[in-house]
Amino acid sequence: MQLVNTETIPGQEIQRVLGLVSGNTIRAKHLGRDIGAAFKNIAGGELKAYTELLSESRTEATSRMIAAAEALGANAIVNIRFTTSTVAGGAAEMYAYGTAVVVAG
Amino acid sequence: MITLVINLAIPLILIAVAVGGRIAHQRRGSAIESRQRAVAHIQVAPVPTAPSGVVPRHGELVVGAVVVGADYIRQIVAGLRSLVGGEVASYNPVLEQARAESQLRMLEAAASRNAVAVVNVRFETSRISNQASEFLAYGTLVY
Repeated sequence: MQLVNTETIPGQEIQRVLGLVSGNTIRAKHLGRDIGAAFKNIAGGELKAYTELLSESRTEATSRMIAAAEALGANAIVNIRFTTSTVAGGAAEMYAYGTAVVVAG
Repeated sequence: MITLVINLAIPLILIAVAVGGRIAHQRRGSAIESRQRAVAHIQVAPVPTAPSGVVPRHGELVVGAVVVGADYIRQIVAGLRSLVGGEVASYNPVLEQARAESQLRMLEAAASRNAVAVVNVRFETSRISNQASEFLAYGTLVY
């Protein structure tokens, strides 16, 4: 599965557009991490536990999007976008979406 | 007497930690500059087309992200600023550095996959908790 966030893929031709595919995941932070982050916040800087948590979630959302594209018979997803939003106190939603296509070339 | 000590000690400890954080912030700043030089050969463009002179044969998604918080001193300054309004200048360096870091991570990931350029670069920011925000940079690497 080829993934790009451009409308076309260099060197390849889009033969069929199969439609919008998306994947999401909502993750809650765990309390220990949250307390650790609160302490870390006094000094500022990177909150590594959160960086890792969010990249794991983004990978999960992306793989769900890929599964949706595979179910349609696509071999690539173009125009991918990511969004993140805090939906509740301790939870964030990761959302990945794009256009499933069949490419050749 | 004990309450006085506690009342003085806690803010002092917080400020001391924050000063340490500031020094770390500056170190990261200079580290970022040297890391930027290491990936300076990769061209970055917010547009979807490859830069002139590059005939892309391959495209691939590449992502860089970082979650950061502002230190205690900056939080206090920002809190005071919000009383009168205006630009919250104390957060500027934090956000600037975080965005540079996310772009750098994206470029380092691109460099490890032998990219010539990263096109269609998008930046996104989202608030994760009261004091923490995530900075995300992503694009399509071409070679």
